[in-house]
Amino acid sequence: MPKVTDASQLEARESLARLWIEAEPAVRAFVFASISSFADAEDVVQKVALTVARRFDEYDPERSFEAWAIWLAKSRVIDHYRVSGRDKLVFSEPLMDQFAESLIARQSERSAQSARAVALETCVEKLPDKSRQLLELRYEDGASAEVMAETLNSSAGSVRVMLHRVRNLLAECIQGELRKEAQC
Amino acid sequence: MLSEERRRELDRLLDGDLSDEDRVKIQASLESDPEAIDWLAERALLHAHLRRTMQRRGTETRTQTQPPVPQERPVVAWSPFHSWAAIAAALVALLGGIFLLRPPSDPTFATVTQTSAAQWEDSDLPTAVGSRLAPGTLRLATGLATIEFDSGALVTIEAPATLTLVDAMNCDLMRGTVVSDIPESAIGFRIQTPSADVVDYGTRFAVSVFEETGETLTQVMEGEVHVEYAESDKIVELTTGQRDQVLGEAADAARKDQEQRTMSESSPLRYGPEWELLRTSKDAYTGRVPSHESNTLLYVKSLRERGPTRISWLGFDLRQIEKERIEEAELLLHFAPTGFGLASFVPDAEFGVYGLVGQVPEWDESIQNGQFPEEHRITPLGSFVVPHGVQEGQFRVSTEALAKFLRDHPDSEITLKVVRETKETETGGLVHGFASRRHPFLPAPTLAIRQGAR
Repeated sequence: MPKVTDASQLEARESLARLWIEAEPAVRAFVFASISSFADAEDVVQKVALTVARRFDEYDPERSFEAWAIWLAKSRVIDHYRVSGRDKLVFSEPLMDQFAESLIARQSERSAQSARAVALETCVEKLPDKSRQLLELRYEDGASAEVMAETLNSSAGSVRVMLHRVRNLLAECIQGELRKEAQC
Repeated sequence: MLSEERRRELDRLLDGDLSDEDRVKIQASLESDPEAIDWLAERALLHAHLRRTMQRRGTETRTQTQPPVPQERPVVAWSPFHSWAAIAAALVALLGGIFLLRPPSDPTFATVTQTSAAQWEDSDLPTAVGSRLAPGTLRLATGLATIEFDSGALVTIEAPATLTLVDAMNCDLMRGTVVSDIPESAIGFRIQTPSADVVDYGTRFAVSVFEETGETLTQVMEGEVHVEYAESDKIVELTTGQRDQVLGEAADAARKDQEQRTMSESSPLRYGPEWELLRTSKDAYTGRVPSHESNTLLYVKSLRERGPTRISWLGFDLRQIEKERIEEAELLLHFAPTGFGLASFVPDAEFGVYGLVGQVPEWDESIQNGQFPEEHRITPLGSFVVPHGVQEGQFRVSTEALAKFLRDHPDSEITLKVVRETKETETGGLVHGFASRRHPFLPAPTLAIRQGAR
């Protein structure tokens, strides 16, 4: 395979890289909401990235790249449901479309995704140890409410409430961090 | 405004923590509730971010508390921005580009992280563990060596091999085998060979190049790989468990016997006049696999699932020996590469040598086309270990049990059984082999026997 590339190809690649950086969080959110197993969701995101790269010449630059990428993600998610048959279908197809629209509509709000990610780091750091431990169980190990409850010597019900509250706290904290950033 | 209960429900939907019945109910309610969908979208962004953030933190915590385990997946540096950039860079590389993140001032992009029984030929790069590597060529004569690219790609080279490092996303394999483990950050990692480009899409896979013919063999253990043929536009997509062979220019010419190019000087046998050296009078191995066979080497292999499948059988004729005078005995085997399987998948391998006792069945070398007669009893005589990555050299068993077995055996003909006790860690592991009595230049399996004075 020749590796010789002309200027226009190079340009196309650079623009793909830039567009993907912007769109990836929404694609990831879309897939993670549709597939509850982290490992499966990550596999699907990876497949979406490949599809986007392979089919980049089909993308119409006049239109939203994010919408196009999520549209590709939708087919991958449906493929996943079909092939695996083991993941519960979280969203029906019309719901997926509505959900995708909502994600795309938020594009301007997420213009600084990297800033949000940095803010999230800071906010996780500020959490009490127990809350952080809960997040570790949920997000590193992919533990279920029952498993978390057993580990933390608590009940599944209260673990669910705790997890919900920790997420609320983080969402607020991120907003606060971003406001601080904007004032600087 | 959504109720707290509704929000909690939506969190459980994201967590996959609802009964089928509840999930269906919530789905139905969502279609007419745009506010809930918006909330869920915001929450899903947080959810997906959290997974990445916590995973990265976990990796850091582990590396702080323990020394890195060499075999573990590489630790990829991921600040959130960095990770997106890495994915973007991988996408760029996927289109045949270069790795974007290489710092311009530092020419190095990879590290030698581990070696096992490694001996290097005149490599133009440093080869000590921990060495940073810039573009150049590595030539591994024996053993294994693992290189971690800054892209996250982990590549284990199996000797004899020549690998040219191009950048953090590209290398050229001129001969030999590499086993690669490619994380998400290095999707698009490319191994160029004389007959094909192998592009990885997040997997573990192995590529072998046969120097004489330029053939490229690709095997995928897990994930997806594309093989792009150099001579045509053909692209073959391989997934878990599949393999592909691209024939090189000289493919029509018969592939040379692989043993020829690994000719090694065997150390001379240093035994005095009181020693008697006996070569096998017959030897064979059972468990042949068509087209994976040899007439000159005796194969030994142990599968992950089933244990020993290829077993070698050695017959010696002791007629010239006065058994009662045997004081010491050694069995010597000369190992040579078989060219089959991956050394990376076999750890330090223990080999067991057994003697057949009781009523020993009659056998001849035609057993290689079938099975060894089932009715036989064995007794353990000793064992030896061939280290991880080592495929050649002289190995020996020298035990009192062996000497006693020879002394006490009622017949002049004895039979030894050699098995590999250590199983491969993954399917497709190395087939070990040692010289048979038909080998053109390596010594046959040999019994060295020291006899006492009359």
